[in-house]
Amino acid sequence: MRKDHSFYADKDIVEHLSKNLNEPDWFLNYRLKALKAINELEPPKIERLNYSDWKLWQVPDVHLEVPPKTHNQSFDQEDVLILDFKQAFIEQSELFTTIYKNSDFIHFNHLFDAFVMSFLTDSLFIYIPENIQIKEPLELSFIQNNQLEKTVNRQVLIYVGANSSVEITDQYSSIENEQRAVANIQIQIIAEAGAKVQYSSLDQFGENTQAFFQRIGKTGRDAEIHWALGAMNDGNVIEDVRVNLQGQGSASDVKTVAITHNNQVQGINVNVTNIGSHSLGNIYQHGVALDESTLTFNGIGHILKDSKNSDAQQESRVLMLSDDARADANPILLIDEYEVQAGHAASISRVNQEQLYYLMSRGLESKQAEKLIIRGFLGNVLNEIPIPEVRQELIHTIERKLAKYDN
Amino acid sequence: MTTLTIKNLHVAIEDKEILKGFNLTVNTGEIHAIMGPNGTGKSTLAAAIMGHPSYEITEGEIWLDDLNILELDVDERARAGLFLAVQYPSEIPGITNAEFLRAAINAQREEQDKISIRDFIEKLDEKMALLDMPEEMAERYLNEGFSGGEKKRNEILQLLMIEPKLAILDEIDSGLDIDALQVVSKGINAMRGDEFGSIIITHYQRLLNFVTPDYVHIVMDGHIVKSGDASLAKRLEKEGYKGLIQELELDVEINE
Repeated sequence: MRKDHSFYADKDIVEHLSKNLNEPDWFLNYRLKALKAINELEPPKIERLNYSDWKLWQVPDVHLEVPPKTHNQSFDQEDVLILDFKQAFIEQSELFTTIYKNSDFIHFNHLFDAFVMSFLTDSLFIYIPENIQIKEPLELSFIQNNQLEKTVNRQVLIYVGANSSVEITDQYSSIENEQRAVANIQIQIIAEAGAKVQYSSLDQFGENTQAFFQRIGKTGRDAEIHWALGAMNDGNVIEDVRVNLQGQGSASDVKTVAITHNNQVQGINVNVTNIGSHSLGNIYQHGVALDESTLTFNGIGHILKDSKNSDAQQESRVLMLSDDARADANPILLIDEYEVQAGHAASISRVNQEQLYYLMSRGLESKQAEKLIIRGFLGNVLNEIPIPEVRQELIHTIERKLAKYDN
Repeated sequence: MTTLTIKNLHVAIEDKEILKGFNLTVNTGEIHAIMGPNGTGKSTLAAAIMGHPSYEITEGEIWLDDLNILELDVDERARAGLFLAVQYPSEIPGITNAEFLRAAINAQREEQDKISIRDFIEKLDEKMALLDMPEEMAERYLNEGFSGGEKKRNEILQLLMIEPKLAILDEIDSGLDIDALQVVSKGINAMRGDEFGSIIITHYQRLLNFVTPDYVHIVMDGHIVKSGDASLAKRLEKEGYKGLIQELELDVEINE
């Protein structure tokens, strides 16, 4: 960021944005608090990835007419709420206020959090009450039209009440033109005691859209959040995941597949912190780097003091399909407690020649054999995605990205 | 009838010559057993025929009828009708056994002649039943986490599904208990016929109790030192390689 720029000069923009959304004072106050903090804060540090020249912190242009978004969620179940914040302020003021004030959105640790809060343009609130099992997957999608929205700052707050379970799929894409656009997306999942959440995402922003995704999870006692993330963007994107395993016996696994191509950069930074005892954290990331692209995987498992009998495991692997690609796989384990289990594995490799030989010895042509190996390499995450259509779409996206590799 | 002809084959790995003038002719309809002590070049022969990249052919020829095998890539050799079953097949996570088998069968076929899902499943069920393989093995990832016995059974399953003209089975019997050995033998015997020839490489005679070979060849020091019929294997079992070395007055050292 440019340190000489004071975002506080943009106070009127913040107030304008707030007014457009009919925000109550308490919410506007968070915006202003964030705006005050912003100049003192640094962007989140992503190990081995310098993104200081990405122009992520672009103040939105409030004079552009942005048509209201339809959130495209097809869902009809009693008690479940799917609202943007503007609606939530009106229809569920008390409930929303309580949950929001308990979220991580109001803590400004980095420039990113403060920036999104100050200049929030877009929002979604999902509320699932306690003790319900939602059978149908909840499908969300967000399409950014770069011509109309050069800057999107979005918060998504997903609250899952005690002992409830839900499957969510979340898709991000952009309508591209020559214009460059940025998106800062912050998603928080709060899983109360005993709740189970399967969250699958397919992020495929186009090449002119630079984005920072931050996904934050918080688990109550015995709660579980399972993430299956497809980082299939075409532009420069950071995907930052932070899970706090607060509840005793809670669990989270974060499975990511990523493909980078052309000269794009994708940085996947997954941070799981064991706080409660007997908590279980798994980080599993597999990716493919093509052309002159850069793919960075950071896996950070942190077991805090008193998180006894907890478990932190991680595996990060990158397959390099080009001599000019750059890849990094950094496993980091920080352990402040004795009675725990932890393990990590990381590798950067080429297509395994023995596997290739084996498949070819059964008559498969080398390109076909290679593709099978690559798909298999990415397959462990694919198979986690519970909704066949989304899984199929991710497979298509992978095939499309690898198609160029055939020639 | 198809004929595999190996003429004066010399093969080196990392500049060390392992096969030193190997000659063999195998026709479809025949089963040849190749026996010999460890380290005499049996597996090198198998890998060289299939075209493993680590093995360098320094001299000699391999023909499948009038096709010069040494000019073909590994996959072309497979599509020409060669098959190699190995002791330690690769594990490939993320690809199911069934998916792989279907791709392998279709690789042998023309675009308009791909196997239908129905025919494929029917054939797969039949072959898996023959090999006493539980159905779930079709949906497991290719060889991943398979036991030694399961891997070998899976190699034979591939043999039955792909139906090559000529199969080389490289120590497919090692480490198998007697039940597994019988199952694997049943698979090989099911392939037997005028359209199928095989080279069975083995260290021990016991597989040959279940699959009777037409010819037995003893390999030492990189070439065949003696050939005979099935009785040669039985004699070897009794007398061991040492007896044979003395009889032939060979100057070789072996680790049995």
